[in-house]
Amino acid sequence: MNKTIKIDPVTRIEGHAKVFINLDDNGNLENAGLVVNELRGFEKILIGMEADRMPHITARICGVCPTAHHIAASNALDYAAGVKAPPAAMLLRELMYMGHIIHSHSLSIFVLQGPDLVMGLDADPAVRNVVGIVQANPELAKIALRLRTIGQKINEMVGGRGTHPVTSVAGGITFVLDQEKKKIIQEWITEARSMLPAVVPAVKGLLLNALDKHPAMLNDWIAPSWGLGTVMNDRVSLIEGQLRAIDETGTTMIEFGVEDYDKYLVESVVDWSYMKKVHINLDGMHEYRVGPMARMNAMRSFGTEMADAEYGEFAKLGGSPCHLTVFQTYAKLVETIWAIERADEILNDAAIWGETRVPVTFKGGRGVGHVEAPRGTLIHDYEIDENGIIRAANLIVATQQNYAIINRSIEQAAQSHVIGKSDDTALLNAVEFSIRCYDPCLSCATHAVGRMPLEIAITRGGEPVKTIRR
Amino acid sequence: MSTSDHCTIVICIGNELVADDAVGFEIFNRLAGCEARLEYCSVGGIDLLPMLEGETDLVVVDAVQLGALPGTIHVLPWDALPRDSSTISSHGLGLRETIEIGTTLYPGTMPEWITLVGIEGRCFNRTREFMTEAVQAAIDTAVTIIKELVARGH
Repeated sequence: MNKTIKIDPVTRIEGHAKVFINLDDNGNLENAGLVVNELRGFEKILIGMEADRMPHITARICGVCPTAHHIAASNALDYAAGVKAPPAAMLLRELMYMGHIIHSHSLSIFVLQGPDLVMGLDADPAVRNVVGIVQANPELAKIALRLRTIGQKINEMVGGRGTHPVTSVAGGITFVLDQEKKKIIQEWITEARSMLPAVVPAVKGLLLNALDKHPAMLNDWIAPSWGLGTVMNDRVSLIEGQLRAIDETGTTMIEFGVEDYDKYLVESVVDWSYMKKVHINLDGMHEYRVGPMARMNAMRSFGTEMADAEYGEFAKLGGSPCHLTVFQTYAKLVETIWAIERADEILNDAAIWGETRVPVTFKGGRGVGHVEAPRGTLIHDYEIDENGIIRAANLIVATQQNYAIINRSIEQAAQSHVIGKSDDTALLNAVEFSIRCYDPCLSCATHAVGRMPLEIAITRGGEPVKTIRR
Repeated sequence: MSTSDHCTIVICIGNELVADDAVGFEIFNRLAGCEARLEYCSVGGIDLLPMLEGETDLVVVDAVQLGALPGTIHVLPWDALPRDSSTISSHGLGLRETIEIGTTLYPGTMPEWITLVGIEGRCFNRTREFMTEAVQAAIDTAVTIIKELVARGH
């Protein structure tokens, strides 16, 4: 029996998202997984560059989460220089970041998961798409997109640019807040707050309705796993704090500073993808989840009124810790509420008017920093020489860490939809849905216009059985 | 429409650090002086909508994967745009779908004429120095085509 599927690079650069499902001779599932078209070589191009360019250059890795790389790089350089950015700088970095979270989550909830919730999993893909939702519900669509735009505007004003922020630097931030800018940002935040009474019940209503129609989402689509999130001052935190790993029951197994990540997070190569998957190494290897739901499982408090109240509702429905795959959407909604409230708190914190930069020099050594990117923990690790030049770099992104759980969800979908069944549409729907819940970063490398269908290749006893394409 | 009352926005898309995907960025840098409002974004999709301010013509410049030889320049009118949204990632909303959303929500700012200038790429998973030669060679021609499109209008 032969189980290793080799996918050569030529087929990989076609831009197809590929899933493989391997059955043994008896038709039982052996394994299944997503093949990620990973951008290669990025860490290598950083070598030889001046360290202080890292926040600027790494923001260009990804057009979707540039602010996450921008701040993670800044944190890593602070560490390398042995400085702590002043409190006002950390608040302004966080304010920029809250804009980024609002912007990213609004899109993900609305564009990606909205169609499942509104149309249902079994709807014809010709109808189950974002254009369909917009046409069916234009007023809600306008609010969702306006919320996204407000997030982007906050990110852009504090970050200096929309597409690739530039203001966060080693030792602090170059953005200067004044009363005029404060007034504008405050107006945006107030507008965002005013949208919540319409957005929150609408999204929750769609989710509950979907659960009514598909009880399997509550009963079967469960992926218990360890989780990793960042905590500070007994609440969820996104750009600073300790990393906390929890087991399936929600028990804290360890907390560590990001500089120790390589003691506990172990990367390993898989033979079907360039992407390395990551496990937590603590008395054995553990698959784990990162992202909004993992953050909430790791630290069940946000420290703001509305977000904590909504988390209470979330826990009542989904449990605490929650392992319901579909509740990733709800977790994003709770974080969106929190990001708006937290942005308001930051803007009105007197400490924001303090010193925003300290001088830095790189004497040689290591720089490690992280953030909680919208999709999960993002770590930057640099080796910097005594002239301030990058000599080695390692980046760990969210999708790598979720990879094992995504593949487990695909295996669940395959178990319930492939074995002994021949409904290709149901299989495609189930597999796509399980991947969508993690909104993996795929298209940094593959966004080019053209068909990017999902392709599922099924083998039995090592022989191809069939390939299904959307 | 006569040529005198059109106004054009050109939006170039692509990650400047990724091999053939950088072609949109390279073209953007060579369009200075073009009689159009120029915008750049690293990923397309819904980010395009806030950029549109009521121009009559929209030209979108991006790397494409439509199955032609690398370096092929496709000039596609609205009717010929493929439906290409990804079904598994929110990063993957297609141009056609984006414009359909815009037409429903913000009809006042949507262009009347839409053209995609797509440069067929091959390598999307390596860094900038691996841009395919044929794609690199197509940049100047694509710039000329875009300038003509802008000058001519509809």
